[in-house]
Amino acid sequence: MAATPVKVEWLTEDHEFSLGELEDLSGLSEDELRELVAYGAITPVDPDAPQWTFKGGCLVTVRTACRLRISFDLDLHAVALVVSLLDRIHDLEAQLGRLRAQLPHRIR
Amino acid sequence: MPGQDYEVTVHISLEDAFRGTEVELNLTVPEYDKEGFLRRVPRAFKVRIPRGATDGQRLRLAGRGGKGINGGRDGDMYLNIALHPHPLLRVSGHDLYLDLPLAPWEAVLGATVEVPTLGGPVHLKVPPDTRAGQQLRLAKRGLPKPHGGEGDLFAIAQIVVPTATNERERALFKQLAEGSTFNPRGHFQEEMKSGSYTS
Repeated sequence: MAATPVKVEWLTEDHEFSLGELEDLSGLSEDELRELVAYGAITPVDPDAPQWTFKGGCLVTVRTACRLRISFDLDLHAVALVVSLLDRIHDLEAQLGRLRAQLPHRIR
Repeated sequence: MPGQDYEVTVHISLEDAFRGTEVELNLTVPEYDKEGFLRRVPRAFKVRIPRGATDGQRLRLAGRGGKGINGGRDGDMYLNIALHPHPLLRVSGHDLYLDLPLAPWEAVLGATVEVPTLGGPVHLKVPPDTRAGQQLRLAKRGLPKPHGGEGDLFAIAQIVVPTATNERERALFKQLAEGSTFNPRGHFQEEMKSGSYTS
């Protein structure tokens, strides 16, 4: 099968999504996304802004939230708790990896 | 209904992350056929991963997931980048860390040493009186960042003693031992006496 060239988009902290884009890409409704914000699972770049935007990493969080809701039939409050814990694990693993990189290895 | 999203972990080398690379993904994905039955279909993608990837980075390929149904948009593909461990360089975000073995005289007197980087070897000036564990920064010699700029490379000084010495070398070390007042354990007695750590 012939391979098709594709364009990639970085999901980094300097990439932002609007609330509408997150809704389109995540499978969650605007109300559900607002609920996740209220529970602290995701945080807008500027909560006081009239139009919320979110950093690239939030897309991963809300996609995970949607999968959890569908797979385990969880309510949003439970989903928010789980994704918060998963994000915390991810951050700690990343921090651990960075610290381990800075430790010298044994000289052979 | 929108098409299914796919998620794939792509393993690349540090050199690939530095230069950018093209990878071919061969996936078997669920898709509905004309009769409406769900079948697993082989699909191939050639993906250009631009410079700027690091371990754990995520990329989105819009519209490259499963086909949408009844006019729904096509799903997306998400790539998780995983870097193969490098024999010398360790990754921390876009910064790199390298153990830099130094002979004792190089650490004390200073030296210019050759250091490997992803862009080719460079000369690093080790200052006199470099201590074990000291990090010597090579600015902009780390991984490139997605939207411009580069991380740094940190060379961590490791003072290494020779594993085998000849008679002359041992004589010189003995001379140094007899002539030096340096005591690396000078703080032991004081720290054991003080008890100040309990207050």
